[in-house]
Amino acid sequence: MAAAHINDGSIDLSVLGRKDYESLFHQYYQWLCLQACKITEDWHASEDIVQDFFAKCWQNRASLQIRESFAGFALVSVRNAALNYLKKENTRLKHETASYSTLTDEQTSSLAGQPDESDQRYLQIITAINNLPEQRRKAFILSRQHNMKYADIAGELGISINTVKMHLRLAYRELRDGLKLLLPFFLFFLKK
Amino acid sequence: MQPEPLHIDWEKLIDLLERPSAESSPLVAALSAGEQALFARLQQLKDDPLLTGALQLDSVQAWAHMVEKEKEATPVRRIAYGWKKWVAAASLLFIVGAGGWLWMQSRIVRPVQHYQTIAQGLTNHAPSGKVQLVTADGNTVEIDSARQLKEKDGTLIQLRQGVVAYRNGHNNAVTTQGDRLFMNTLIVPRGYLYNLVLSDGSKVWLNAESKISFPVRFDKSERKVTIEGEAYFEVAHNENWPFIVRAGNTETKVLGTSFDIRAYGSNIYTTLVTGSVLFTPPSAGGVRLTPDHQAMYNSHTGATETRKVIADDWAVWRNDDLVMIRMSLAELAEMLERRYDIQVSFTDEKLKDIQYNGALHLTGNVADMLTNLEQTGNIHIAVKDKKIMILPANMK
Repeated sequence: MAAAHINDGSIDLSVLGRKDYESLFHQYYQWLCLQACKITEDWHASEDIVQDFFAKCWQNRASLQIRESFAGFALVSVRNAALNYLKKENTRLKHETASYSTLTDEQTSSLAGQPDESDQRYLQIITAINNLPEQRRKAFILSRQHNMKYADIAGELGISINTVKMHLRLAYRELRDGLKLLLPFFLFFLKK
Repeated sequence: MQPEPLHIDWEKLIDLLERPSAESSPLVAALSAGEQALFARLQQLKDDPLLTGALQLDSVQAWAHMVEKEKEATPVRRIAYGWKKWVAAASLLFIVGAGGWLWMQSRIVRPVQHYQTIAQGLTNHAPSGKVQLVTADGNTVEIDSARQLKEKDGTLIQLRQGVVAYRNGHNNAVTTQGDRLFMNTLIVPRGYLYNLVLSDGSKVWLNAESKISFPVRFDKSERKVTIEGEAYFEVAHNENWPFIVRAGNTETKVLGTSFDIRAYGSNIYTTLVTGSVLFTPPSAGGVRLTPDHQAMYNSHTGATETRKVIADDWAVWRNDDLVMIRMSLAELAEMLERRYDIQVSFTDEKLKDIQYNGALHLTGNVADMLTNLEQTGNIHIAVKDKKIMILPANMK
């Protein structure tokens, strides 16, 4: 399965079967939760928001008309739902008002739903990781936990440390080559 | 055509990734700039909290949970989620989204000079020139599609996107014949990179704003080419057939090797990656270079200096990477101008001195690249009449 792209072709939900709809769910779920969490900073609330979106979307599939790609449509809907959640939460209301008036062009257009490059990259990264062979994916995800040494991962997966390192090497390489370097700009500080 | 991969010690990087940053950073500082840049990206990828959170989500469990909620929901009674209201809300959200955006637009303070954003000002930006080949009989051919041309002496030139290769009429690599040398010149204007394969099999990468003049078939005694700008060579090994590159008034002589020559301004840099070269400035003795060493010749003063460098850092441009070591924004702007065929202006002279240390990947899209550059935080970039304006960061 190729890496998903935000602008992938539009989908006619009214003719989509339930099974295909479930595939759509699995394809975009993590990414949409990430997008909601950017706004809400609350994973639990984000999951609720995304699940609600998918549920309502299915309920109304006969009458919904999606003009652009599903991912683009889902992104706008989830972001708006997340903003509404924040408003209801009150706690950040004052913050919200202040930040609206100083948003840059890029930020406002992102709220209006135009996906930017970092949104696209997150989608590609998540999709690429989920497409890794099972062991490699597990090794990669385990390695992200700070207290996990390679020896621990090896024990957990029942493989040698060298195999763990090989998996990581291949996973990072895959991500780098496939995504042409994830973050284009990097600054380091030169030691005098 | 893939350049030879730059040397990356993946084993070392993966080992360093396991350690906490405080422990690994002195060791990371000892790596080449290319490896450091890659390591930082790996680390960012590893530590990104949003990504970590997202990857921990179980979509299978989430689907089951959603199905449960669907069964519980009673459309008639649930006020907040009644379906009619939701459809109305969905369309309203769309409008609110758009309206909200318009409202915000009116609140943003704009500078008086009618600047455009990067995205607005640079849609459809393309380099203004074309890569050209001037053949021995004086014809200029634009290279932008797969073509086959017959050269004056029957040699077939195969042109594919990014590669020019020479074959004789029988589809064999050309050999020397006769005294006349038919010269060709490949012109790479600003905004382009190009590769070619010479008749002896040597590979050449050309950077933007560069030229190479070369004979269709090399002379028996030596292989001689002339360049302007910047070129990276992987010379086919032949001990009895020296390969000579002229740049400015300097000559670099090799037997079989990989090296880079940068001759844009008054300084000419010859950097050796593998093999051995003899670098000869005008009216001075030759300097023999060993790998990871560089000769820098200043055409104003006539002086030549040799120094140790990480040769890979001088060759990364073939991958469209840019390595900056204490590079001023003025210098960076010059490089970007050349690579993308754009014009850069500074609204404040002090901005020219901002220094950069790091690595930048030059994406194909100039608007994306400038957006990335802007995100470093110390500048704001806008477009005016197709010119790129560098502004202080607090101006919007």
